[in-house]
Amino acid sequence: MNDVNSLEAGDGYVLAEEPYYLPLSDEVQLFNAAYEEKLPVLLKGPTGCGKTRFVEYMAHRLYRGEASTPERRMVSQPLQTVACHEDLSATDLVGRYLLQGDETVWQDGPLTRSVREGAICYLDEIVEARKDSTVLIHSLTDHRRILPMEKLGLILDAHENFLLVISYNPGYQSVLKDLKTSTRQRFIAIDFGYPDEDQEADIIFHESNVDKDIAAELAMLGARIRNLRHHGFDEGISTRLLVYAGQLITRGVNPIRACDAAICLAVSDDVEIQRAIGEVVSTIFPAE
Amino acid sequence: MAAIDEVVGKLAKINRQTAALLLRTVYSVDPDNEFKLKWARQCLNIAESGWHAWESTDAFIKLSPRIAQLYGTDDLLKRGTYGLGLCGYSFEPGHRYFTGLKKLLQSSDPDRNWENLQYIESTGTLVHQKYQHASNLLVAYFDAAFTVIQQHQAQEVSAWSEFALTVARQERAELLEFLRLSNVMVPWVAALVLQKVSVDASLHYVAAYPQLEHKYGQRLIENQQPLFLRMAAGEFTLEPFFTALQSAVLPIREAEQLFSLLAQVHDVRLATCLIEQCRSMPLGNHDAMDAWVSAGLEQLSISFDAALAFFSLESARSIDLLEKIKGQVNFSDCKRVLQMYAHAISGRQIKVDAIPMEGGEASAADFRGLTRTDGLCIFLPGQVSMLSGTEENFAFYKVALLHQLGYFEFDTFDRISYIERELAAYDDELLAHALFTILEDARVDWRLERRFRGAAASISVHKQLALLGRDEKPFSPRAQMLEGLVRCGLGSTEFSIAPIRYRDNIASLQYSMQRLNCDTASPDDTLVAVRQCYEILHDNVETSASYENLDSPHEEMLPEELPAPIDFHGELDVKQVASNMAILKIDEALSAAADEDMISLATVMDPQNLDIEEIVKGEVRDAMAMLLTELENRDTEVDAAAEQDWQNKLHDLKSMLGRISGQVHEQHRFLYDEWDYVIDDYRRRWCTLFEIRDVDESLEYVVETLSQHAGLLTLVRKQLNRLKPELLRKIKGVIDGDELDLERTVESVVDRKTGITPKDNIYIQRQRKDRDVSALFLLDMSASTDDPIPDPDAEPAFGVKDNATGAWDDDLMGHYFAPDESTKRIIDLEKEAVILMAEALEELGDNYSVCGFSGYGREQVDYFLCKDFDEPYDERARGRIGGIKPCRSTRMGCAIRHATRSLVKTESRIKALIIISDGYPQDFDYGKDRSSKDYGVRDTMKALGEARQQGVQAFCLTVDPSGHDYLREMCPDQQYMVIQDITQLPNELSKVYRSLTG
Repeated sequence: MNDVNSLEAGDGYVLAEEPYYLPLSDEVQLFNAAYEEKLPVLLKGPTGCGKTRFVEYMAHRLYRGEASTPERRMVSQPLQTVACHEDLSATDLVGRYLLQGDETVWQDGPLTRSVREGAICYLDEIVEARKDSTVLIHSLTDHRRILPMEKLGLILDAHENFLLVISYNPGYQSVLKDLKTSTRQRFIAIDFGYPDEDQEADIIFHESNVDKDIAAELAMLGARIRNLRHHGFDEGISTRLLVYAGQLITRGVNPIRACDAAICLAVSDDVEIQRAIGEVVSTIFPAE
Repeated sequence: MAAIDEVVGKLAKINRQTAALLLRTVYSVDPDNEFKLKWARQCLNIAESGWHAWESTDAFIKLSPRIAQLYGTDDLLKRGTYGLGLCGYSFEPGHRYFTGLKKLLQSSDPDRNWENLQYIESTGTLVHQKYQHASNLLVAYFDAAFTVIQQHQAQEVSAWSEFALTVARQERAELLEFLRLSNVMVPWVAALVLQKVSVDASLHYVAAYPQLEHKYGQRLIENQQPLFLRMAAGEFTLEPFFTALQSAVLPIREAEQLFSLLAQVHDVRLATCLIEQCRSMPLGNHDAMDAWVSAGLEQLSISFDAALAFFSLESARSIDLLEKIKGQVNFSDCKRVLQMYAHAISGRQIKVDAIPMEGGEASAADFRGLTRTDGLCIFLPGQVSMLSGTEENFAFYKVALLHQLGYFEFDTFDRISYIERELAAYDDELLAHALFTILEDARVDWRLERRFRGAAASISVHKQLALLGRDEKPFSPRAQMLEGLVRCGLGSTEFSIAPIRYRDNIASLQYSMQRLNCDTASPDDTLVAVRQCYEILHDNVETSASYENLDSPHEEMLPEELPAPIDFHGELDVKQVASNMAILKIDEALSAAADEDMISLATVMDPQNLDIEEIVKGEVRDAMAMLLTELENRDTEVDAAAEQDWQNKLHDLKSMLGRISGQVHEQHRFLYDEWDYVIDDYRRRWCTLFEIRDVDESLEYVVETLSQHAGLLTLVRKQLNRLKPELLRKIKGVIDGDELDLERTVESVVDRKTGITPKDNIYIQRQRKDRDVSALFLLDMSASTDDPIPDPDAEPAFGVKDNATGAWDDDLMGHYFAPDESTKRIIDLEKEAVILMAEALEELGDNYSVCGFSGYGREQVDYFLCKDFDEPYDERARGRIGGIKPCRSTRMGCAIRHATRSLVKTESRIKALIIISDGYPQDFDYGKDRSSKDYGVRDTMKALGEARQQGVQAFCLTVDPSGHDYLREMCPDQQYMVIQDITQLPNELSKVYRSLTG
């Protein structure tokens, strides 16, 4: 059983280096406080606004960086990230028996691993997951902090360093997929928006090494395109895509072409929306 | 000379003075006595010829010595005889003839003119013979003839005479008109050649010539002789052709190109259309225009009408080809892109629309207006083709739009009320406004260039183009200074346009303007610059009036001194924007109020803060006061009716605000193509459809219908409820299904192995769960639907059969409709059917819309929107359906196209269009031949085909007994139904609905 476990887990995501994160508000203090008080955290915000990066940053800070303790530094994989999808079941999170020859072998799921080791478990886009998996986390997110493992007939007490973080994007979820109140009301929520133009310019500059002026123009582009919320893409355009464009520009790609590839074609399949965005791009960046 | 004395004596009895004149002259005429007597008798004969004829005699006597001296006595007697001949009925013609001779003798070249006399005399004889009692006509003839003689060489005079001869054989009116035209210079030889081909054409040529010569120059017009001859050879009049040539406005180079194109066209009607449309053509582009004209001539192989529509720029082929060669960009084609662009750049929900056209569709082809905004909507030209390619023309749209957005971006509109007040405080408000516009436009451009590096290049290009297109020097120094300022804003560094003595002033103006060329310039800085420039211009520069040395110089600026607007800047109406921005504030508060946020409404609605024009302020204030009173009186618990009333009032006020800001009308106007089978092509943007929401409401009608047909409604509901959802959905984790859910299956195996009871829900099943249907009911509201329903053939049966099977019972329907048949109209049937359907559909949950159509002519197709897809079926919608009433014609194609467009927008999987009509499509201009139904039927057929192509299933229900004839042409068998017994309409409608969407 252990062999299988170690084989599956490998070295994993060890967070050796501090990820770049520019705090937009008081989210760092808030998260710290929640962690200390063992309060589960819900991150709300549109795609690409930096939720995942924030969790990575906090995980590094708490397990490897200035706020770490010797015990936490021992945790090999301080952050277990699960991207939820519609077929994700409780089994996927807790673990399952696998068939190996004639035997069945138990393998921990990412949630179980975090609970055992005292890591942060991050369930990205939780509402996408099947109902049974959301109910599963209920017992972990109240005073009990336990994980019932039905298949093993066990109830696991959570490690004191364990923290559950989930993310949720209220923008594009349909009403059918809204988070249940019973789930929602077990978390403290931190709201994420897109950074303002100056902050976003800093982020683009840092992440893509592009010239400062270009970074500012990319940030302006982002802000203008986000004005098109009512035209079919409520999400707007993510900081991530702007960073991609910056990276392409750093590699010598013409800014208009870079924005075309990283932004226009990426955000929509509607030819007219692409063209409108293209026109905004060519308003901001000169043809060379 | 007793004989002469006798003559004199007789003459003295007629007029003593004439006799004395004769006596004085007779001895100086010629020494020959025999001649003297002949001459004297001739004079007497003239004097005796009629009342007042002595006047002619006087004129003749006075001329005689000179004629005898220059051209001999024979010639004199000959002229006398000719003049005498004219004096039969009235002395006037003869008198005019002799006066004319006198003029010839006094002219610079009397000998040449004398020789030409023969021509006019011979024609004069014929005219006299034909119209001897028409002395005025003869007078007019000789007036014209002597003018021509003096103006032209022999050849021309001869040609004129010959021309006149032919005209004289025509009607009297034509001759008179011709004589009137003869007073101006016309190349008569050329006219005569044309006359040999067609008299009518030559007369139109003569009439048009002076203006044509003035417009195009003598050489160019004379070179067109072969063209005119060819046109004249045809069977059609040249009048419209020459009229079109006279009214065309073209630079001379383009005129030459136009004539070379006309040379290729042999039919005068086509040529006329070509001239009429030439303003919207790139005549400078020879190859392209040749290609276009050739394509037009090819249409003749289809039909003449096709070619006519082509050259009139009405057919799709023609317009598309022209737009292609012009690189034209149509606003309608890029509206959505520009709309999104405006939203993205401004971050506001500002509308972008085409400049509303005035004067109807006819002027659309060459229509070009100025870009402007009213603060709520940005208006751009309907099409742009001034530059050479599509990209360049689109770039114009973008730059023009960006400039307007610049007013939002750089705070002009945030400060607009303040700006308006500041400008109003100037003595010369016009000058202050002009300065503000010039300076603000420059500031906005500069700031745009700095903020948007990508747009800077385009702005610069358009500034250069605008600079090149500026006119010559304006007429007053002040206008010149303003023009100089405009050019400075466009990047020109010199003020050479203004007088040198204002050099210092010019430097100050430039300085004031250039201070706006920085990163931080605000509207307030512009106002400072306006103040500085105003002082310079108003105090130091001569006004236009004093420049013209008028007695009472006008200090204030004149409208004609305003500099010409710049295309991409458009125009800025500070007052309107200020008013609309105020309205916008109220509107936003009203929207919030509709969402139950009353506090914001009350705060914004202080009428004192309103910045709307005085006239409308009162109106708005009253409506708002009413609303506010309503607001105060509202109890915390209001019943539904009161709520509805409140919402209605809110709606009314909002539409009033919309009306004031000019936002209501334009957004509901649509242009549609129409299929013309004669030309085998679409007529582009042929019909104008107005989507009308404000229709009469009659809720009572609906209530009455529902109570009257409660039983029928139950039946319709029952039928519709049997409709099955048609969309498949994958359901996982069921105990029975088409395929295995692999994951659950593995889990089940593992469970079994570990001793846990395995679950058996391991299958996936596909189930029909959803309906995705949008249906549109399109009602014919033509005048004929006002007719009473014809008597049914037989008495309806009253027995109600067992309906447990759910099958339709036709007799039952008869039962429901029988009692009112005598008074009910066709429209009532249509309405009742739709009302029952709507009630039933509400339960089914399908998305549906109810519309009616009517109109009069292609410029006015009315489309009444009673219930839209996303609109609740509330009292208003019900009332609108109840209020449907017969109007005018049935232009079906256009209405179907609009309905299709709305259906396509829903993006539903099943889109059903159900048209309920009472007859074939018709309108007064639905095809050239009013008696033929073909045009309308074919267009409707095409519109149905288009609907099909776009995934819309159309179905025609008609109550016209002859419906089979045309419906068979329009739709496949399974897509139409003729209802023989009109009372079956509600029944059939639900059947149709089931078959279309089930």
